[in-house]
Amino acid sequence: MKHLRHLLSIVVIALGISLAQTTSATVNDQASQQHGADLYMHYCSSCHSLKYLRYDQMAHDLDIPPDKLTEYLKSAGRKADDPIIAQLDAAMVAKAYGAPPPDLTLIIMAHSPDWLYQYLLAFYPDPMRPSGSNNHMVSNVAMPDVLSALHQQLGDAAFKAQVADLVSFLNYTAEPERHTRYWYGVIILIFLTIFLIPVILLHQDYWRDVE
Amino acid sequence: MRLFIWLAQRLPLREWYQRHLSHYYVPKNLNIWYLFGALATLLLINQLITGIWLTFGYSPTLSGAFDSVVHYVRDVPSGWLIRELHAAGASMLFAVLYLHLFRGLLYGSYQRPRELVWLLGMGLFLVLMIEAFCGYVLPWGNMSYWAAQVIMDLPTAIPGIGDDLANWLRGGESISQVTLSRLFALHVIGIPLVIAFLTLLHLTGVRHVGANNPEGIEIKKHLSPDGTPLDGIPFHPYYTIRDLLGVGVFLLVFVGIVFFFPTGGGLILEPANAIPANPLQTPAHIAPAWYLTPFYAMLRAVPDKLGGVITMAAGLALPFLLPWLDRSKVKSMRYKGRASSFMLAVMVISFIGLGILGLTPVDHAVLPFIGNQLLAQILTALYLLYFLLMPLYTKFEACREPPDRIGGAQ
Repeated sequence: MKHLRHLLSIVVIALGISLAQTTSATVNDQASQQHGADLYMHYCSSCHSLKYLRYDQMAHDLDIPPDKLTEYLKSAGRKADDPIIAQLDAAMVAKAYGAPPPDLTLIIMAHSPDWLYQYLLAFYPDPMRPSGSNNHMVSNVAMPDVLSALHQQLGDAAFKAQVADLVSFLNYTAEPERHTRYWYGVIILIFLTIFLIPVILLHQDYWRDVE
Repeated sequence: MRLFIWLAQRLPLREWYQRHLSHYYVPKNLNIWYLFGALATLLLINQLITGIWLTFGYSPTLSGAFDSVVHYVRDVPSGWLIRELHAAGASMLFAVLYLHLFRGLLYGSYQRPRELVWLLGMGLFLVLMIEAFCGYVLPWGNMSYWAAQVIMDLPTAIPGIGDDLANWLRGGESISQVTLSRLFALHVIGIPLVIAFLTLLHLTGVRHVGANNPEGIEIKKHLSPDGTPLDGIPFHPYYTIRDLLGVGVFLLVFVGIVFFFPTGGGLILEPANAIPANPLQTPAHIAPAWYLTPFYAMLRAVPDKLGGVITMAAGLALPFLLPWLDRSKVKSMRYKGRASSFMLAVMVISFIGLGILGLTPVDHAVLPFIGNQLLAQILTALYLLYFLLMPLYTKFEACREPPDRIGGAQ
């Protein structure tokens, strides 16, 4: 019985932690991701693709209002079931800035939400660079400081909140099924715990007669 | 029931059940270290099934490999789950195998009459490493590509035929479509067949000679009048229920990783593999999967390329020789002398240390006051000495006399 109680208490603690993680991720404000998507469509999507994500899938997952979706589709000249492809040709952008803009669907996996947040806040004016800006995290980065106008308009604190929303959106694009993953995990952990109770009792029963 | 009788008249069902389960006598004192063989089998089956499902959606072409995996993960219902079970399954398989191997070292499971079981197991381990390497390349991320580049360049260290051998293995001067096709074919057909065959032999061997136990004494020496070992109990139901319990607890851990830590902090799914293979962009730090890093560290420890390859090969080959290196009269560490315990501890610490070094960039010092290169050399030497000195310390150390029967006095 001692084993059973120990095991169950460990499992209950683990379940508590995973449930907390799950709920916080579910609450993980859709509003922030929606707003991030809006920022992305205005500031990023002309150069950077999200080629593994389709417009309608994004609208469905993030509950984006139909008029907003229509606006994004119109400005990009795409249909709802198209993947989110950059408006500008990558080769042309590479010629202008020195490097092709990478696809950003999985960028969070290549780095981390934290890294991306710091990177977007690390731009500074640099007259030596052709783009007029440079970055503390990635020196001599080819990407220009596209958010500088927004930064100046909003001031530091409000700008940081905008960047956080953008990062939260890209965190969604990297793994749209994150919530499903958490919920599956919780359900399977509960199942395993219940499954283990008769197994532990059966084990005790069988092994009782072995000295 | 009639179906069973019909079948039993045509197949040795009853005999099979008795031979492998109800009348397969196993020592009654097996502890938690004896769980990992069962877990390895479970994980092997997991790899097989999830692997078949992944093959449904995988395209082994330079232009399609990366995208096909990403689409499988994102667009196929539960595709993410199948990929994660396969990726985390590989990591867990090696974790479990290392524990299984350690059990062998601890209780002398490689000693007579289990030399062949040990050799088959080590062979399996080696083949699984090759299988894991092939699988690591298939998603065609940037780390896949560069790891393949480094590993498949190793044969060039061999004098004379090295370059030709490397080109022959790669199917060209560099990693190409030819290489990818080969690794795919080997990963999904060639090597799995070898693994299945070796697993069958490994298990058949164990059942023939009987399982060792923590005391390292033979239960077949003391039989009851009906011919069954006095200190043995039937595998079923005793160890089937115990393994089921172990599997349940293991699954709690496995599920925890699969659903809540799928990247394993970059050890299961590497960040650099989120970027497609790019021959023009070398990742800042190239490292193989964590379970191969101890051997990678041995390779890097020696400044000379050929010397590194020889050192790594020695690190892989010496464990095969254990049944003949160990001159001890007793099997289990419980009755061996202090030297054996000490050397085993030194070896395990060195091996883990090498694993950490293999994961760390060369210029990123792990310990203060000592460079990674020197540290790797010391740990490699200690690891190799565990094997090379074994004939001496096992022969001359003072052992205790093991009891005649399990749980009994001498």
